[in-house]
Amino acid sequence: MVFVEEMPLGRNIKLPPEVREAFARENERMERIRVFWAEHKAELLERYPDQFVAADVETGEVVDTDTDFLTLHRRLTAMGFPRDDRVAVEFMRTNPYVAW
Amino acid sequence: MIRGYFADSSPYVELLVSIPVLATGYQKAAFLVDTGATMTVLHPRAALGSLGIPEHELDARRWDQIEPVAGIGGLTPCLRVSATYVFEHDDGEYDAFEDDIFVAAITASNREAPSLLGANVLRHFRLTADYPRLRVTLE
Repeated sequence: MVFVEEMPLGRNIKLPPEVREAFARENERMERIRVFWAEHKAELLERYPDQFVAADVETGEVVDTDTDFLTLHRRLTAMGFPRDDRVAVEFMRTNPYVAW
Repeated sequence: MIRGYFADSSPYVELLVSIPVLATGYQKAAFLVDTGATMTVLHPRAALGSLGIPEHELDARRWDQIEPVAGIGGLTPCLRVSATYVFEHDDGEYDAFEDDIFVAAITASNREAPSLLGANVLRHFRLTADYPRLRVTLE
């Protein structure tokens, strides 16, 4: 989460260093999550097909799983994980996602 | 240049979003680049997981004004609110825009749906979706 008192609007703007650093930390957080799933998704897909998996991206521990995202989210919230942070959620899809 | 990526054969872009009436600060979230969408739509998975919006805020029964939005699965009740969108260039500069966003209520069919980056935001950019090379850019 990044707090910015007043965001300048427009194209090709330069942000104050403290805001850029905060945004960079958010990018690093997202990158950690991406790397985690890239390294572990194949294994977790075999163990938890077609389930949402909540995993601790630091330790690799599977925190919880469920076939329904909202049910899983409610349990994570009750456990004190209000949003994707150290614990990230991904769906272990066995069939390609099809939208039309 | 803003770089996106392909996932599940579809183009995505990550950006920072602030929705002051529902959540504090800026949060990063992934949006499916949807040239067929008139408006940007935040679906429950990103709303709850990425932006940390409390579940009760996505209950349409709480909303004073509901906008039914037509999508693939039929009409979805949405809350239209103001948002700030911040895109990061690969050279360290940023683009920041204020515009509305449709926040979708939680329904039985949209819990897994990706959030959609629609024309109200895409109109600021030249979009390239290079499917053979799996590259997505906004300029």
